[in-house]
Amino acid sequence: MKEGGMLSRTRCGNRPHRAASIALVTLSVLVSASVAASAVGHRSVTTIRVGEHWCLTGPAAYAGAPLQRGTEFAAAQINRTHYLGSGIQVKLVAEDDGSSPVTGVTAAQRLIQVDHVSAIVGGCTSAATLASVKVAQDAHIPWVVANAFGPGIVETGNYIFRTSQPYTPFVGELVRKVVPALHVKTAALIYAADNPSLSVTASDYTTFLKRKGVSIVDSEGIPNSTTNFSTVLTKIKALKPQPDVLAVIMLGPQAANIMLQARNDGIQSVFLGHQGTNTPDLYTIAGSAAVGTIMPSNWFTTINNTLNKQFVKQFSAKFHQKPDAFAANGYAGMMVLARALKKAQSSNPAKIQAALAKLYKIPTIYGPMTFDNREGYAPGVIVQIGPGGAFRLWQPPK
Amino acid sequence: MREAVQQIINGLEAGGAIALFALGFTLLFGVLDIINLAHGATLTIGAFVGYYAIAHYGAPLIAALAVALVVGAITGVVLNVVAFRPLRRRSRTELSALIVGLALLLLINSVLQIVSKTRVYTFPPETFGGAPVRLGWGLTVGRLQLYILVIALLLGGGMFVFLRNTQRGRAIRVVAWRTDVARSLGIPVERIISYTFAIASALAAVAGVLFGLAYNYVFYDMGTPYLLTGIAAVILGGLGNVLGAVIGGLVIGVVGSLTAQYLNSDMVDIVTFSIIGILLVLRPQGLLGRAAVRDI
Amino acid sequence: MSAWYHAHQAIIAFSLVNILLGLGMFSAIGLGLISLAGAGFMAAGAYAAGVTATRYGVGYPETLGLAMLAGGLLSAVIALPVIRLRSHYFAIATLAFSLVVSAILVKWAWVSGGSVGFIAVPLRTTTRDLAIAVVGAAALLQLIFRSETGRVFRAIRSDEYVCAISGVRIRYYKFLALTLSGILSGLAGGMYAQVLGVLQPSDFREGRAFAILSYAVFGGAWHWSGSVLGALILTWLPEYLRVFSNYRDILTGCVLLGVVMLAPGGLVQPFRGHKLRLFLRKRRRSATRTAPAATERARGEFARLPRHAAPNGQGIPVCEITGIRKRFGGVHALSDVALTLPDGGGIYGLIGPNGSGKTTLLNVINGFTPPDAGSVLIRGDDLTSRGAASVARAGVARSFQDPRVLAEMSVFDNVLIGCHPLRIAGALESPFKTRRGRRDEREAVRRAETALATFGLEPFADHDAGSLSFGQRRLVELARISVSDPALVILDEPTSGVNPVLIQVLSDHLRERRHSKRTAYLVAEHNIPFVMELCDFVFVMEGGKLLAQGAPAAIQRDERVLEAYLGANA
Repeated sequence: MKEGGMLSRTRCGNRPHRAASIALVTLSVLVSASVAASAVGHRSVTTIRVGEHWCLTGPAAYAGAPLQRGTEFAAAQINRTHYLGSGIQVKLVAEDDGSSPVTGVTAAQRLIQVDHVSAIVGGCTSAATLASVKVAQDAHIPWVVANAFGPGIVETGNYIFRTSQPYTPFVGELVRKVVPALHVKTAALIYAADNPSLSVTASDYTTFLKRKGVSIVDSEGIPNSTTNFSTVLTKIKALKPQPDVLAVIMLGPQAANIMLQARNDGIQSVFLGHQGTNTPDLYTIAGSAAVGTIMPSNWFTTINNTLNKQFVKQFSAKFHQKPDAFAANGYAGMMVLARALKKAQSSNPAKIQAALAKLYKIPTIYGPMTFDNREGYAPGVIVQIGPGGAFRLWQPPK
Repeated sequence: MREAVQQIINGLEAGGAIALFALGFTLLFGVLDIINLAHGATLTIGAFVGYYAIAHYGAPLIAALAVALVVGAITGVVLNVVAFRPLRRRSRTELSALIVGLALLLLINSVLQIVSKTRVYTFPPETFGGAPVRLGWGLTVGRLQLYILVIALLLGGGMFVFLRNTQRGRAIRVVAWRTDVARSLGIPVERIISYTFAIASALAAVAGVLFGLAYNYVFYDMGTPYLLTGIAAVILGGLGNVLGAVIGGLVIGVVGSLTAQYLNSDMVDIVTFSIIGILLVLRPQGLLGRAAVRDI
Repeated sequence: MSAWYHAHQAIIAFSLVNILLGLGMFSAIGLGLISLAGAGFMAAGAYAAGVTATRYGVGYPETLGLAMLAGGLLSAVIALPVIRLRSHYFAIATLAFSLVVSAILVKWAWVSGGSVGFIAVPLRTTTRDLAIAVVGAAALLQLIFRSETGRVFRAIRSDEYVCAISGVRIRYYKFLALTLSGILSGLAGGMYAQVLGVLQPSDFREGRAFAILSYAVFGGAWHWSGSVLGALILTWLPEYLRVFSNYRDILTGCVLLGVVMLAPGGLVQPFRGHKLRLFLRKRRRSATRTAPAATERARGEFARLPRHAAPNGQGIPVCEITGIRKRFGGVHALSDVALTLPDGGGIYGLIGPNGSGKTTLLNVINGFTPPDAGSVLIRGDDLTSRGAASVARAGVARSFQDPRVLAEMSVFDNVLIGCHPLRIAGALESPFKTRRGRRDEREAVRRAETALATFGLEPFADHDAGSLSFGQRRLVELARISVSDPALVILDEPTSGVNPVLIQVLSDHLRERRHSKRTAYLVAEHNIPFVMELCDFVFVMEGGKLLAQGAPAAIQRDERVLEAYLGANA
């Protein structure tokens, strides 16, 4: 517009008005420019604080470290790709559950009351997790349990979700397929009686094997800390008939030693493993004794879906080693939570809970995961250790 | 029938390990009147030393044992000087020594946990023993486990002879009996105590190397189960009695394997510790122990 | 403040549970019982509460009652066989107990939920409930501490021999203490179950047992406040150290080690500050003192009088032993010894060379050593092999060659213990200050103060008995012996190591007592002049046999005696 128009009536005394209008225009240009700039740029970012609840110290610390690594790898990826949307970032706050219920509970309380997280991903051991999720439920903070698979956890309340379902269906699937394929008539078990998770797996195996008409000729519950297996293997060796399959439900290194010694003793049974034996360590320690072991799992490195292939490739590139089952669990839990965060677009715990509750069937590195009553069910795989220690999908023999 | 004999052999072999641990344990109790819980940590230190020597530096077994022996002896002397001796100077030590031992056990275990990142160390398959020793009639025994049993028996016998027939050994026995009398006889009590710590801890460290190899398992907390079975063994044999420790260890081992065979593995702990409890009630001095240990 | 509380609610609750466990531990360790059974009792309580709440729908405070019952019953059962073991053996037996309990819980999966443990135990215990339990337990322990029962507990911890000869039924007190420990630990377990909601057998094994023990040792086993402090620090310390993550356990171990080494008795100890302590004790003493006017009749009502205080002249010998034989290995310490101390008081000497069996004979008479054969009659009652406490309660007192005192307790308390056999109020009654208990205490204090005055110990009344000189401790012992009006007093070499002035005090005292004709004294001595001058009658031993007996003059002329003893040692 013509500058003089509005001011023409007072032309003689209007020089100050002119300066003022120049200033006004300049100011408004500047203000609108900065508004435009901030709308595009990173100055107003919502940070959603997510708590990590892993066993970083204590007897289960061997799991806590890779779990944390998986979770943090996921969070870094989420932020880097702006997965949650431009302007929303995830910030992880880690607390150590000390591998025990008491320390787990205090860590959970700290995450919620002191660190003020909007959601939690975590849950190492079943017992500690069971105790800790109660705290989150009472405080109405949503929690995605990503590793503990014991019973009773999601039943705690509507704020507790899980991506690490009980392994029972996987064990069932394995038994259902392997028993007819290998003509299994008799079975024996060696399991860690004082380890809650392993006892549950052992009892799952027992139930399903019996259901398939397999006769359990021996079931030995030994202390978790056993290192000398001569006694229990002598008993197995003396069984008549020799069991067709021997379920070895002990922690990784011990399972490996059992297999090694069993083969040395001339025990020919096919070894059945569990989720804890799904680790390269098994072959490293037991060598050829471990070849042929069949185990149920929710994941292994060469599951054939895009998400998993990407995950393994990027993880290996960054850490120069393939991810293990724990890293995978940590990653998957975080990614599922992220999906809900993306939907909720908010750091309000109630909204996050609502978004989690709406999850039904989503793609994960495990494959498609279906949620039912807050429990996420993955398809599961049956894995076998092939010659040379390669982990591959089990195929029934021709 | 064959299973029974095989299980007895298994029991003896497991018992040999318990006995080897219990030897040093009972020596310390006899001389110092304390239950030294840190003994379990010394075992683990030995195991770690053995692991690094054998798996990392490829040392032969003898060399690894020698190194562990020295490291163990030094550890024992250090623990005595740093913790137990100052405690002896101060007050009635039974209770405090128990807790000091516990604190040391926790401390050392935590350090080892950090060092090993809570990982279990194992040996490459070619490292240890190899094929089990075949005894005929289909009976077998693990090669390294057999070594452990033999070493335990030899060391047990050797300790017994040493304590009875050598001057140092006799000095140790006098100190074990009454320190005031020992002093009045001119025996350098503190030096003897250090010496005892050195021997006992060397034994534990050597045991650690052997166990780590034989069971292919080196872990920061591996000493704790041996503490419990070790206590059971020395109670059975009589606290302070070296031969008793060996016999006690063997008995505990055999009882364990027979229980597993004829009852079930999950009964082993119940049976073992119930026997100990009952034994304490009926005959607390154990099989070979000294006079009654009841109160007035 | 409230925000801080909410942020730390869990750990506050757990520290209260641990304090309760520590108080349970104190109940045992206050007597010197190194108990590792706390884990087992806690497990019993935890599972009792957890199982009944989850499976049988038992209501809230009731589950805690069941927890206490479970802990108490189990401890009572365990206590019976285990009580007589001393220190290490007791510790190991209780450890074995805890391990067996945990292993059984793993095996009995149908009851306990196995190693998976109990899940979904309803969380009904609030922090307030825990605080009430802790305060209640502490109050109870304080009542006990300040009563005769507490005094006896501390005495047992200090020197069981002194307790035995003061007529303390040691095993009974130990049984009570262990049962109390079981009840408190069981309660702690029941509350733990309903605070955490998850139970696993592995939570109640050796780790837990040693942790509970360390609360008391770290904090101080002298007073219950030590266990409270120990539990608080050891629960919160790892929490504050968590910033060091991996190194947290190392630092916790270092702190534990450092404190136990620098202060082996624990953090809470009796005030080392001498003057403060004396002041407090003196004040406490004057509080118990009341009007000294106690009539004969009143005394008859209040105190349990020793039986021998019945009118004199019944003719029953105060002590009659016959046919005593005792062997130690190959040594015949006593062969067919018979000895009678008639009624009516008197001072009897017992002399003989070293190795003649004097001390063994004294041990047999007062019950420390059961004879292989023969009988010991005290005032006509056969007390052979009944134990020192029973003999003491029948009116026999004894001193030792090396005076035995309760070193960490005050001289006054030492003398008070001597009144123990006279008390009517039992162990369960005295903490609650019943009428009988208060009368007992008044009477005991009166007697003790008299004894202190008699032996000139008034200036030292509030000092630790262990801080006194040898001679003074000898006097403390004598004071302790005298307060219960014993029928027979056995003095084992009372003049050894004592200066002539005190020897004079001693003989004056004995002479004075002789007049009353109520007490007989049997004095074993090497100090021949002392014996010959003082005693009415002398027994001579040699080689485990009674060589001769008679009036001092006759003994001095007896040839056998001269040859065996006086001659050989002249």
